[in-house]
Amino acid sequence: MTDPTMRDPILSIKGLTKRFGALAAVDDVFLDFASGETHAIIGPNGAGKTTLINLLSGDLPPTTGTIHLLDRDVTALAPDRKSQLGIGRTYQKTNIFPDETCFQNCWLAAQSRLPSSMRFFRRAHRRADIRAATERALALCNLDARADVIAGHLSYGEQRQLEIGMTLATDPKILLLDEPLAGMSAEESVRTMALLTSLAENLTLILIEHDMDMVFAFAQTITVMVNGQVLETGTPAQIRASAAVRDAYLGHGPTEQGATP
Amino acid sequence: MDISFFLIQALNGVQYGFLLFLVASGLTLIFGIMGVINLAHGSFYMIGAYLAYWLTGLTGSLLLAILLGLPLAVLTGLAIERFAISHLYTRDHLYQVLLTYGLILIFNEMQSILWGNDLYGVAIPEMLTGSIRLTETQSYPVYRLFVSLVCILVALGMLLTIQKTRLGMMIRAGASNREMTQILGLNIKQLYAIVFGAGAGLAAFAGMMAAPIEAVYPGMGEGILITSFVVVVIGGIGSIKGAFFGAMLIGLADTFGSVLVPDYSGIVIYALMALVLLWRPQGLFGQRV
Amino acid sequence: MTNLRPTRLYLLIALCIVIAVGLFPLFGEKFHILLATRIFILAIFAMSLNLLIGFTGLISFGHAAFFGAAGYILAFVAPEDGAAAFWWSAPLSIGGAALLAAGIGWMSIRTSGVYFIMITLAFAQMLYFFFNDSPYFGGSDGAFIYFKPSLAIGSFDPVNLDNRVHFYYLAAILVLVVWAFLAMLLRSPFGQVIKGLRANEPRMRALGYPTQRYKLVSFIIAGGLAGLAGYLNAAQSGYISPAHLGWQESGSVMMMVILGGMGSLHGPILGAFTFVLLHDILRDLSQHWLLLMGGVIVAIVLFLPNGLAGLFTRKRIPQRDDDHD
Repeated sequence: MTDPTMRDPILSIKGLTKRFGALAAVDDVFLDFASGETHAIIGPNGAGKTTLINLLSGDLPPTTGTIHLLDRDVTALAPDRKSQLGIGRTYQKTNIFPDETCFQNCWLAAQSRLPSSMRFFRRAHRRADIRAATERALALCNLDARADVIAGHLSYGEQRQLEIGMTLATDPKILLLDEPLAGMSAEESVRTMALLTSLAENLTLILIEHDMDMVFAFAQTITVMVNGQVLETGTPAQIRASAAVRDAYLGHGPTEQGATP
Repeated sequence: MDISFFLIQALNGVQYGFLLFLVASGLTLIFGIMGVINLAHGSFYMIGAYLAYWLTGLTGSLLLAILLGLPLAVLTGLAIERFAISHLYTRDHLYQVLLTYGLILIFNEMQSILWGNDLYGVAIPEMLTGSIRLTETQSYPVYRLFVSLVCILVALGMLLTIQKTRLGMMIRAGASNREMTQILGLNIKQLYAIVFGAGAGLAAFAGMMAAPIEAVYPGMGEGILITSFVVVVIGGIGSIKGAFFGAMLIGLADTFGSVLVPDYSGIVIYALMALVLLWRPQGLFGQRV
Repeated sequence: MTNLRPTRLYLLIALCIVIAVGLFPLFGEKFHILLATRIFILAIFAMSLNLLIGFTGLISFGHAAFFGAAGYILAFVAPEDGAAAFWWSAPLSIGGAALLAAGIGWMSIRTSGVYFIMITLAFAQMLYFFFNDSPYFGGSDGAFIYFKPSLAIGSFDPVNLDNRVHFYYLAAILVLVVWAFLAMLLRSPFGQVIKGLRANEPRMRALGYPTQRYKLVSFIIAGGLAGLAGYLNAAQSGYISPAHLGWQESGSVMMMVILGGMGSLHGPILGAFTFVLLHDILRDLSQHWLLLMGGVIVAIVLFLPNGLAGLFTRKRIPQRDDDHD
C-alpha cells in the first residue's frame, strides 16, 4: 500500500466554517483528503463531525470557506450536483425508501446516473444498463438474495447495508459514511467491515465512526475534531502518539471503546 | 393626490393591517407551535363578526357584545381543538387541510342557518361615532382610530405575554423548535389548547372590531383567511414579527392598490407575495431551511 | 371466485365497467347521461390532482386555477357566431393551463410543505380576482361559450358534441386516455423519480436528482390535464365563471382524490363518482347540504384516513416527517 499522503488530494477544504447562530459547529477547518485513502473523522459528540459531512455532501451550505473537488470549486453546489460529480453519502439515521423493495431502492439510485430522467414513455425497468448497475450494487452490499424484500421489512443491519448499496449504485468516487456501524450486531459489523474493506480498494472513503478499534485498524488517516475544530490529523500511529489527542479526547488509550465523553 | 388624502389612506391601511395582524398572528403561531395548517381560522373572524352583530342587537352595545361574544368564540375554538384538530397533530398536512376545509363548510352553513345570507351592518358605539376633521373637506372617523389603538394595545399585550411570562417562554420554545417543548417536558396538550383558543379569540376579536367598519356578510371568513395566508407567506411562518410586518405591508398595499389601480386591486397583494417569494422564498422573517 | 387470480379478477371487473359505460347511453335517461359526462370530466380533473398529491407528494390547494383558466381560454377564443374547432382550441386551452402551471409552479416550488399549500391557494385566488375584476372576461357573471366545439376534419364530421351521447363517449374515451397516459408516465423513469420524491425528497436529492425540476414538470403536466378537464367542462356547460377557479372548487377536487384513495390510478375516478353522487344525494336531503358535506369530510378524515379504497385495503397512513419547512 502506498503512502496516501503522497497522492494529490481529491477533496480539499479550506477555512470551512458553519455557524448556527452563535455556535460554530464547524470552525475554520482545513483538510485534504487524498485520492483513494480511507480517512476517519473522530471526536466526541457535538464535535461537528456530522456537520462536516453535511457540508461536504451539500446538505448544508457553509457559512464561509471553500471545498474543492480536484480543481473544481464545489463549495456552494447542491447535494444533487455533488452526487453527480461523484460525492456519495450515507446517513447516520437510516435513510431508505421503506415501502419499496431493495431492488427498487437501488434502482432509483442507479437511475440517477442517466443523463436525465425526464423520460416519459418507455418503461423504466426495461433499461438493461440500469438493471445491471442495480444488480451490481445489490451484490456488493450482499443483498442480492433479498432483492425483492420490502426494505422496511429488513433487519436493521440489512437496512444499513442497503443504505450503502444505494449510494454505491450511484457509482461514487468519494463515499461519505456517517457511522456505518452504528447499532449493528457484531456479526453485521463484521460483514459491513468486509464490504467497506473491499470498497476501500477503489474508492476514497471518508467516515465518521465511534468504534475506535475499527477506526485504528481500518483508516489510513485519522482526523480528530473537538468543538468544531481539527485537533490533529495523521496516521493511526501519529494519532496514538499525540499528546494533545490523548489529553483532549482519547483518555486512557486508543483501544478503549467509548468516544463519548 | 394631496397630503391629507394620502394620510387617510395610510391610516386606513394601517388600521386594516392591525386587524390582519390579529388574525395572521394566530394562524402563524398555530402553525409554528402545533404544526397545524388551519383553514378554519378565518371562520373565527366570521363568527366574531356575526356574534358582534347578533349580541349588539340583543344588548344594544358593541362593548357588551364583545365581552359576551369573546368567551363564546374562545370556547368554540377550544371545542374544535379538542374534538377535531387534536387528532391531526401527527397526520399529514393534507388531512389537516381537508378537515379544516370541512369545518369551513360547517361553519358557513351554520352561519347561513342562524343568521341567513343577508348583509348586516353593526352600529358604531355612540361615543365613537364622530370624526376628526383633517381639512376643509376631509375628516377621519374616530372609530377607525379607536380600532387601531385597541389593536396596538392587544399587540403590546401579546408581546409582553410572549416575552415576559412562563407561557410566553413555552410559546417561544415551541415556535422555534417544536421538539424542544417536548424535551422540556411541558404540558403539550395544555399549551396547544391555549394557543389554539387564543388564536381563535384573536381572530374573533378582529372580526368583532371590524364589524362596524366592514359590515357582516357570508364568506368574510375566507377572504380574511386567504389574505392572512399571504401575510404569513410574506412574513415567514411561525414568526410573530413577520406576521406584523407582513400585515402592515398587505394592509397598506391593499388600501393603496384599490385607490391607485382600482381595476386590478384584487391582485395587488398576490403580486406582492410573488415578488417576496422570488426574493426570499422563506419569507421576510422566516428561517432559511 | 376463489380460483381467480387477482389480475384476472381485476381484468374481469375492468371489462364489466367498460361494457357498462359503453352501453349506458342506450338505457340512461338524458339527465343521467349528462351526470355521467360530468363525472368523467371531474374524474380527469381529480386524476390530474392525484398526480401531484398522490404521486409527487405536492399538496396543491389551487388546482382549480388551471381547470378554470382553460375554460376561460376556450371562452375567449371561441367565436360568438360559430363553433371553435376542437383540434386547435383544446390544445390551446391545455397549453395555456400548462403554461400557467409553469409560472405558478416555478414560484411555488421554491417552497415546500405548508408554504406550498398556502401559496398555491393564494395564486389561485389571484387568478380568481383577475377574472373577477377584469373587464374583458365578463367579470363575476362569467363568460359564455355559445357553440360546442366542432371535431370536424374537413367535411368529415362524425362526432357532434351537441349530441350529449357523443359528448359522453368523448369524455369516457378521454378518461381512458388520461388513465393510460398516467399509467405510462408512472412506469417511466420520470414516474419512478416523482414517486421517490413523494416518499423522501432529501434522499432523492442526495442520490443526484435535481428534484425541483421534476416537481415542476409534474406540476406542469398536472396543470395541463386539469386544463383538459376544464376545457371539457366549459364546453359541456357552455359557461365559465370565476367560481370555477375558486378555493371551493380546489377543495372539492381534493376531496375527490382523498375519497377515492390517493396514490392509485383509478382512485380519483371512484372519488369523482362518489363525490358527485354524495353531492346530489345530500342536496336532495336538505337545503343545508353543505353542512352535511362538511360533516362527511370531517368524518372521513377522522375515521377513514385512506379514503373509500382504504375500506378494502390496508395501507400506511402517511405521517408527517417535515414540519419546519
